Amino acid sequence: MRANPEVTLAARSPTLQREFLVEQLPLIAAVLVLAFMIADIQGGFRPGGEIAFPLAELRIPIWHLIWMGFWTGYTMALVGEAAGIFALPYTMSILQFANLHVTPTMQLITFLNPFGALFGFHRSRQWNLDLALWVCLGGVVGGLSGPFLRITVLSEVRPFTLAVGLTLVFAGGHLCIAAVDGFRRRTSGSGLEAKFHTEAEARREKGLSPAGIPLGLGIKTIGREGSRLTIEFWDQRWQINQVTMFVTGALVGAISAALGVGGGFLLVPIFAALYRLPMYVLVAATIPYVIVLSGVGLFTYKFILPAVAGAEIAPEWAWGLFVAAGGILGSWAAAKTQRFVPQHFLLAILGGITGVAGSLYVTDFFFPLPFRL
Amino acid sequence: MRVGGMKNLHNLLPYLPFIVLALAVVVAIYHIEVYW
Repeated sequence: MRANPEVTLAARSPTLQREFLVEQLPLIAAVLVLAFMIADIQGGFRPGGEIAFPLAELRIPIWHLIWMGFWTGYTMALVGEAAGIFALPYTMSILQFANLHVTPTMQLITFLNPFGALFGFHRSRQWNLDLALWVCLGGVVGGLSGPFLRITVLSEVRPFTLAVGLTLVFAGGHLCIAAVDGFRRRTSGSGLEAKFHTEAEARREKGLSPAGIPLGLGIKTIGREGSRLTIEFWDQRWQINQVTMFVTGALVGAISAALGVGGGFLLVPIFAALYRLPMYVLVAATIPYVIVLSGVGLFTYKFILPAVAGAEIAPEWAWGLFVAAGGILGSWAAAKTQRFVPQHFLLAILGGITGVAGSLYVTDFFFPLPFRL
Repeated sequence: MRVGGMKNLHNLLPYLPFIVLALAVVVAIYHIEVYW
Protein backbone atom coordinates (compact mmCIF):
# COMPACT_ATOMS: atom_id res chain seq x y z
CA MET A 1 0.00 0.00 0.00
CA ARG A 2 1.33 3.46 -0.83
CA ALA A 3 1.60 5.99 1.98
CA ASN A 4 -0.97 8.76 1.88
CA PRO A 5 1.14 11.94 1.91
CA GLU A 6 -1.44 13.65 4.13
CA VAL A 7 -1.12 10.98 6.76
CA THR A 8 2.64 10.74 7.31
CA LEU A 9 3.96 12.93 10.10
CA ALA A 10 6.68 14.51 7.96
CA ALA A 11 4.32 15.33 5.08
CA ARG A 12 1.62 16.56 7.45
CA SER A 13 3.98 19.15 8.76
CA PRO A 14 7.24 19.59 6.82
CA THR A 15 7.94 22.56 9.08
CA LEU A 16 8.10 20.13 12.00
CA GLN A 17 11.29 18.57 10.62
CA ARG A 18 12.75 21.97 9.77
CA GLU A 19 11.86 23.33 13.19
CA PHE A 20 13.59 20.38 14.85
CA LEU A 21 16.69 20.55 12.65
CA VAL A 22 17.07 24.35 12.76
CA GLU A 23 16.02 25.19 16.33
CA GLN A 24 16.10 22.13 18.55
CA LEU A 25 18.92 19.93 17.31
CA PRO A 26 21.63 22.66 17.50
CA LEU A 27 20.45 23.61 21.02
CA ILE A 28 20.39 20.00 22.25
CA ALA A 29 23.75 19.24 20.58
CA ALA A 30 25.33 22.38 22.10
CA VAL A 31 24.13 21.44 25.61
CA LEU A 32 25.38 17.84 25.17
CA VAL A 33 28.79 18.95 23.87
CA LEU A 34 29.07 21.40 26.78
CA ALA A 35 28.17 18.60 29.21
CA PHE A 36 30.95 16.34 27.87
CA MET A 37 33.45 19.23 27.83
CA ILE A 38 32.68 20.27 31.42
CA ALA A 39 32.81 16.67 32.60
CA ASP A 40 36.23 16.40 31.01
CA ILE A 41 37.49 19.68 32.49
CA GLN A 42 35.93 19.08 35.93
CA GLY A 43 36.93 15.46 36.36
CA GLY A 44 39.44 14.85 33.61
CA PHE A 45 37.32 11.94 32.40
CA ARG A 46 33.80 11.11 31.25
CA PRO A 47 31.61 10.26 34.25
CA GLY A 48 28.72 7.84 33.85
CA GLY A 49 27.99 4.21 34.63
CA GLU A 50 31.63 3.30 35.34
CA ILE A 51 33.08 6.44 36.96
CA ALA A 52 31.30 8.58 39.55
CA PHE A 53 30.30 12.23 39.03
CA PRO A 54 32.72 14.25 41.22
CA LEU A 55 30.20 16.34 43.23
CA ALA A 56 27.23 13.95 43.21
CA GLU A 57 29.64 11.08 44.03
CA LEU A 58 27.44 8.65 42.10
CA ARG A 59 27.74 6.32 39.12
CA ILE A 60 24.82 6.90 36.75
CA PRO A 61 24.76 5.99 33.03
CA ILE A 62 24.50 9.13 30.89
CA TRP A 63 21.53 7.65 28.97
CA HIS A 64 19.59 7.53 32.26
CA LEU A 65 20.19 11.24 32.92
CA ILE A 66 19.07 12.12 29.39
CA TRP A 67 16.00 9.88 29.79
CA MET A 68 15.13 11.48 33.14
CA GLY A 69 15.36 14.88 31.49
CA PHE A 70 13.16 13.72 28.64
CA TRP A 71 10.32 12.18 30.65
CA THR A 72 10.22 14.88 33.33
CA GLY A 73 10.53 17.66 30.72
CA TYR A 74 7.83 16.11 28.54
CA THR A 75 5.21 15.43 31.22
CA MET A 76 5.71 18.76 32.99
CA ALA A 77 5.84 20.97 29.85
CA LEU A 78 2.52 19.42 28.75
CA VAL A 79 0.95 21.17 31.74
CA GLY A 80 3.07 24.32 31.44
CA GLU A 81 5.65 23.61 34.12
CA ALA A 82 9.40 22.99 34.36
CA ALA A 83 10.62 19.54 35.41
CA GLY A 84 11.28 20.20 39.12
CA ILE A 85 8.32 18.51 40.81
CA PHE A 86 9.20 15.16 39.22
CA ALA A 87 12.94 15.62 38.72
CA LEU A 88 13.85 16.60 42.31
CA PRO A 89 12.24 13.65 44.17
CA TYR A 90 13.43 11.25 41.41
CA THR A 91 17.00 12.60 41.61
CA MET A 92 17.11 12.47 45.39
CA SER A 93 15.28 9.21 46.07
CA ILE A 94 15.79 6.98 42.99
CA LEU A 95 19.18 8.28 41.78
CA GLN A 96 20.22 9.15 45.39
CA PHE A 97 21.89 12.48 44.58
CA ALA A 98 21.01 14.09 47.89
CA ASN A 99 23.90 16.35 48.95
CA LEU A 100 24.04 20.19 48.94
CA HIS A 101 24.90 20.36 45.23
CA VAL A 102 21.51 19.00 44.18
CA THR A 103 19.65 22.33 44.64
CA PRO A 104 21.74 24.48 42.24
CA THR A 105 21.87 21.48 39.83
CA MET A 106 18.06 21.39 39.83
CA GLN A 107 17.93 25.13 39.19
CA LEU A 108 20.19 24.67 36.18
CA ILE A 109 17.89 21.89 34.89
CA THR A 110 14.65 23.81 35.45
CA PHE A 111 16.16 26.88 33.80
CA LEU A 112 17.30 25.09 30.63
CA ASN A 113 14.70 22.38 30.00
CA PRO A 114 11.67 24.64 29.27
CA PHE A 115 13.53 26.29 26.35
CA GLY A 116 12.41 23.38 24.13
CA ALA A 117 8.80 24.12 25.09
CA LEU A 118 9.31 27.88 24.72
CA PHE A 119 10.45 27.56 21.09
CA GLY A 120 7.95 24.78 20.37
CA PHE A 121 4.90 26.68 21.68
CA HIS A 122 6.16 29.83 19.94
CA ARG A 123 6.16 27.99 16.59
CA SER A 124 2.68 26.57 17.32
CA ARG A 125 1.52 30.15 18.03
CA GLN A 126 0.60 29.26 21.64
CA TRP A 127 2.36 32.46 22.49
CA ASN A 128 1.28 35.88 23.74
CA LEU A 129 3.74 38.37 25.16
CA ASP A 130 0.95 40.57 26.56
CA LEU A 131 -0.20 37.63 28.68
CA ALA A 132 3.33 36.70 29.78
CA LEU A 133 4.88 40.12 30.42
CA TRP A 134 3.41 41.26 33.74
CA VAL A 135 3.37 37.87 35.42
CA CYS A 136 7.07 37.47 34.48
CA LEU A 137 7.93 40.94 35.82
CA GLY A 138 6.12 39.97 39.04
CA GLY A 139 8.22 36.80 39.09
CA VAL A 140 11.45 38.80 38.95
CA VAL A 141 10.36 41.00 41.89
CA GLY A 142 9.09 38.01 43.91
CA GLY A 143 12.08 35.82 43.05
CA LEU A 144 14.55 38.43 44.26
CA SER A 145 12.64 39.17 47.47
CA GLY A 146 12.00 35.49 48.34
CA PRO A 147 15.42 34.72 49.89
CA PHE A 148 15.06 37.77 52.18
CA LEU A 149 11.55 36.65 53.20
CA ARG A 150 13.11 33.28 54.02
CA ILE A 151 15.60 34.76 56.51
CA THR A 152 13.06 37.19 58.06
CA VAL A 153 9.29 36.55 58.29
CA LEU A 154 9.55 32.95 57.04
CA SER A 155 12.51 31.91 59.17
CA GLU A 156 10.25 29.25 60.71
CA VAL A 157 9.19 27.77 57.40
CA ARG A 158 7.59 24.45 58.41
CA PRO A 159 4.07 25.72 59.28
CA PHE A 160 4.17 27.66 56.02
CA THR A 161 5.05 24.55 53.97
CA LEU A 162 2.12 22.77 55.65
CA ALA A 163 -0.21 25.58 54.51
CA VAL A 164 1.22 25.40 50.96
CA GLY A 165 0.84 21.60 51.01
CA LEU A 166 -2.80 21.72 52.13
CA THR A 167 -3.56 24.36 49.47
CA LEU A 168 -1.96 22.16 46.79
CA VAL A 169 -3.92 19.08 47.93
CA PHE A 170 -7.12 21.14 47.67
CA ALA A 171 -6.14 22.54 44.24
CA GLY A 172 -5.17 19.05 43.02
CA GLY A 173 -8.55 17.65 44.08
CA HIS A 174 -10.32 20.58 42.42
CA LEU A 175 -8.43 19.99 39.15
CA CYS A 176 -9.20 16.26 39.19
CA ILE A 177 -12.92 17.06 39.64
CA ALA A 178 -12.65 19.53 36.72
CA ALA A 179 -11.01 16.74 34.66
CA VAL A 180 -13.93 14.36 35.35
CA ASP A 181 -16.39 17.18 34.57
CA GLY A 182 -14.59 17.92 31.27
CA PHE A 183 -14.61 14.21 30.35
CA ARG A 184 -18.40 14.12 30.87
CA ARG A 185 -18.95 17.29 28.82
CA ARG A 186 -16.72 16.25 25.91
CA THR A 187 -19.69 15.09 23.81
CA SER A 188 -22.11 17.89 24.78
CA GLY A 189 -22.17 21.67 25.04
CA SER A 190 -20.07 24.21 23.17
CA GLY A 191 -17.04 24.42 25.44
CA LEU A 192 -13.43 23.71 24.55
CA GLU A 193 -13.68 20.00 25.51
CA ALA A 194 -16.59 19.48 23.09
CA LYS A 195 -14.87 21.41 20.28
CA PHE A 196 -11.67 19.41 20.84
CA HIS A 197 -13.61 16.13 20.72
CA THR A 198 -15.50 17.10 17.53
CA GLU A 199 -12.30 18.26 15.78
CA ALA A 200 -10.34 15.13 16.76
CA GLU A 201 -13.16 12.80 15.65
CA ALA A 202 -13.59 14.63 12.33
CA ARG A 203 -9.86 14.32 11.60
CA ARG A 204 -9.80 10.68 12.66
CA GLU A 205 -12.68 9.89 10.27
CA LYS A 206 -10.73 11.53 7.42
CA GLY A 207 -7.76 9.29 8.23
CA LEU A 208 -5.73 12.21 9.61
CA SER A 209 -3.93 12.49 12.93
CA PRO A 210 -6.45 13.06 15.76
CA ALA A 211 -5.36 16.58 16.80
CA GLY A 212 -8.14 18.29 18.75
CA ILE A 213 -6.63 21.76 18.43
CA PRO A 214 -6.16 22.99 14.83
CA LEU A 215 -2.52 23.66 13.90
CA GLY A 216 -1.45 27.30 14.21
CA LEU A 217 -4.44 28.44 16.25
CA GLY A 218 -2.99 31.51 17.94
CA ILE A 219 -3.62 33.27 21.23
CA LYS A 220 -4.63 36.76 20.13
CA THR A 221 -4.77 40.01 22.05
CA ILE A 222 -8.20 41.47 21.28
CA GLY A 223 -8.17 44.58 23.43
CA ARG A 224 -6.35 46.51 26.08
CA GLU A 225 -8.12 49.04 28.29
CA GLY A 226 -5.92 50.39 31.06
CA SER A 227 -4.70 47.35 32.93
CA ARG A 228 -7.43 45.09 31.51
CA LEU A 229 -6.32 42.72 28.78
CA THR A 230 -8.67 40.69 26.57
CA ILE A 231 -7.27 37.58 24.88
CA GLU A 232 -8.91 35.18 22.47
CA PHE A 233 -8.25 31.53 21.67
CA TRP A 234 -10.50 29.49 19.33
CA ASP A 235 -13.42 31.99 19.58
CA GLN A 236 -13.33 32.06 23.40
CA ARG A 237 -12.34 35.20 25.27
CA TRP A 238 -10.85 35.91 28.69
CA GLN A 239 -10.42 39.24 30.46
CA ILE A 240 -7.28 39.46 32.53
CA ASN A 241 -6.18 42.24 34.85
CA GLN A 242 -2.48 42.95 34.38
CA VAL A 243 -2.14 44.26 37.95
CA THR A 244 -3.56 40.97 39.26
CA MET A 245 -1.13 39.10 36.99
CA PHE A 246 1.82 41.09 38.37
CA VAL A 247 0.75 40.51 41.99
CA THR A 248 0.15 36.79 41.32
CA GLY A 249 3.57 36.47 39.68
CA ALA A 250 5.25 38.33 42.56
CA LEU A 251 3.53 36.27 45.29
CA VAL A 252 4.21 32.94 43.59
CA GLY A 253 7.81 34.05 42.91
CA ALA A 254 8.37 35.12 46.53
CA ILE A 255 6.86 31.92 47.98
CA SER A 256 8.75 29.70 45.53
CA ALA A 257 12.08 31.44 46.09
CA ALA A 258 11.55 31.36 49.87
CA LEU A 259 10.90 27.61 49.73
CA GLY A 260 13.69 27.10 47.17
CA VAL A 261 11.43 25.56 44.51
CA GLY A 262 10.29 26.47 40.98
CA GLY A 263 7.11 28.48 40.59
CA GLY A 264 5.16 26.47 38.01
CA PHE A 265 3.61 24.05 40.52
CA LEU A 266 1.84 27.03 42.17
CA LEU A 267 1.21 29.28 39.17
CA VAL A 268 -0.30 26.69 36.82
CA PRO A 269 -3.00 25.50 39.28
CA ILE A 270 -3.86 29.17 39.98
CA PHE A 271 -4.30 29.87 36.26
CA ALA A 272 -6.19 26.64 35.62
CA ALA A 273 -8.44 26.62 38.69
CA LEU A 274 -9.03 30.33 39.45
CA TYR A 275 -8.67 32.06 36.06
CA ARG A 276 -10.07 28.99 34.24
CA LEU A 277 -7.55 29.36 31.42
CA PRO A 278 -7.27 26.22 29.24
CA MET A 279 -3.96 24.38 29.36
CA TYR A 280 -3.37 25.26 25.68
CA VAL A 281 -3.47 28.98 26.62
CA LEU A 282 -1.82 29.19 30.02
CA VAL A 283 1.46 27.72 28.70
CA ALA A 284 2.01 31.05 26.91
CA ALA A 285 2.48 32.69 30.33
CA THR A 286 3.75 29.88 32.55
CA ILE A 287 6.61 28.55 30.36
CA PRO A 288 8.29 32.00 30.08
CA TYR A 289 7.55 32.49 33.81
CA VAL A 290 9.35 29.31 34.94
CA ILE A 291 12.38 30.23 32.81
CA VAL A 292 12.49 33.76 34.29
CA LEU A 293 12.05 32.50 37.86
CA SER A 294 14.71 29.79 37.47
CA GLY A 295 17.06 32.41 35.96
CA VAL A 296 16.49 34.63 39.00
CA GLY A 297 17.07 31.60 41.26
CA LEU A 298 20.39 30.85 39.55
CA PHE A 299 21.41 34.51 39.89
CA THR A 300 20.51 34.41 43.60
CA TYR A 301 22.57 31.26 44.16
CA LYS A 302 25.51 32.63 42.21
CA PHE A 303 25.66 36.20 43.53
CA ILE A 304 23.24 36.98 46.39
CA LEU A 305 23.51 33.86 48.55
CA PRO A 306 27.36 33.85 48.59
CA ALA A 307 27.24 37.50 49.70
CA VAL A 308 24.85 36.65 52.58
CA ALA A 309 26.01 33.15 53.54
CA GLY A 310 29.64 33.56 52.52
CA ALA A 311 29.87 30.39 50.43
CA GLU A 312 28.88 29.43 46.93
CA ILE A 313 27.40 25.98 46.33
CA ALA A 314 28.40 24.72 42.87
CA PRO A 315 26.03 22.74 40.70
CA GLU A 316 27.10 19.38 39.24
CA TRP A 317 27.33 21.04 35.85
CA ALA A 318 27.75 17.96 33.66
CA TRP A 319 24.87 16.15 35.40
CA GLY A 320 22.59 19.17 34.99
CA LEU A 321 23.50 19.63 31.33
CA PHE A 322 22.96 15.95 30.42
CA VAL A 323 19.50 16.10 32.05
CA ALA A 324 18.78 19.46 30.41
CA ALA A 325 19.61 18.06 26.93
CA GLY A 326 16.94 15.38 27.39
CA GLY A 327 14.65 17.95 28.98
CA ILE A 328 14.85 20.33 26.02
CA LEU A 329 13.89 17.49 23.66
CA GLY A 330 11.11 16.32 26.01
CA SER A 331 9.60 19.75 26.50
CA TRP A 332 9.72 20.42 22.75
CA ALA A 333 7.94 17.08 22.16
CA ALA A 334 5.32 18.22 24.69
CA ALA A 335 4.79 21.50 22.83
CA LYS A 336 4.32 19.62 19.54
CA THR A 337 1.95 16.93 20.91
CA GLN A 338 -0.10 18.90 23.45
CA ARG A 339 -2.79 19.62 20.83
CA PHE A 340 -3.44 15.86 20.58
CA VAL A 341 -4.09 15.46 24.32
CA PRO A 342 -7.60 16.34 25.54
CA GLN A 343 -7.96 19.01 28.21
CA HIS A 344 -9.43 16.49 30.70
CA PHE A 345 -6.26 14.33 30.43
CA LEU A 346 -4.09 17.43 30.95
CA LEU A 347 -6.18 18.49 33.96
CA ALA A 348 -5.97 14.96 35.39
CA ILE A 349 -2.16 14.99 34.99
CA LEU A 350 -1.91 18.48 36.51
CA GLY A 351 -4.33 17.54 39.33
CA GLY A 352 -2.32 14.38 40.02
CA ILE A 353 1.04 16.22 40.05
CA THR A 354 -0.36 19.05 42.21
CA GLY A 355 -2.02 16.62 44.63
CA VAL A 356 1.13 14.48 44.93
CA ALA A 357 3.30 17.59 45.51
CA GLY A 358 0.86 18.83 48.19
CA SER A 359 0.71 15.39 49.84
CA LEU A 360 4.52 15.28 50.01
CA TYR A 361 4.61 18.67 51.79
CA VAL A 362 1.86 17.62 54.25
CA THR A 363 3.49 14.20 54.88
CA ASP A 364 6.90 15.84 55.36
CA PHE A 365 5.45 18.11 58.06
CA PHE A 366 4.36 15.13 60.20
CA PHE A 367 6.86 12.44 59.10
CA PRO A 368 10.11 13.80 57.56
CA LEU A 369 10.70 12.28 54.10
CA PRO A 370 14.00 10.68 53.02
CA PHE A 371 14.46 13.50 50.47
CA ARG A 372 14.31 17.28 50.73
CA LEU A 373 11.39 19.21 49.22
CA MET B 1 6.14 3.46 7.27
CA ARG B 2 2.85 1.89 6.21
CA VAL B 3 -0.30 4.01 6.46
CA GLY B 4 -1.87 1.64 9.00
CA GLY B 5 1.22 1.74 11.19
CA MET B 6 1.38 5.54 11.12
CA LYS B 7 -2.35 5.82 11.90
CA ASN B 8 -1.91 3.53 14.87
CA LEU B 9 0.96 5.73 16.10
CA HIS B 10 -1.20 8.84 15.67
CA ASN B 11 -3.98 7.24 17.69
CA LEU B 12 -1.54 6.70 20.56
CA LEU B 13 -0.68 10.43 20.79
CA PRO B 14 -3.51 11.36 23.22
CA TYR B 15 -2.25 8.63 25.58
CA LEU B 16 1.47 9.42 25.17
CA PRO B 17 1.83 11.07 28.62
CA PHE B 18 0.61 7.91 30.35
CA ILE B 19 2.89 5.71 28.19
CA VAL B 20 5.90 7.91 29.04
CA LEU B 21 5.06 7.81 32.78
CA ALA B 22 4.74 4.01 32.67
CA LEU B 23 8.16 3.75 30.94
CA ALA B 24 9.65 6.05 33.61
CA VAL B 25 8.45 3.64 36.33
CA VAL B 26 9.99 0.66 34.46
CA VAL B 27 13.37 2.44 34.12
CA ALA B 28 13.26 3.49 37.80
CA ILE B 29 12.69 -0.15 38.85
CA TYR B 30 15.56 -1.27 36.58
CA HIS B 31 17.85 1.36 38.15
CA ILE B 32 16.94 0.27 41.70
CA GLU B 33 17.59 -3.40 40.78
CA VAL B 34 21.00 -2.68 39.21
CA TYR B 35 22.50 0.24 41.17
CA TRP B 36 21.09 0.07 44.71
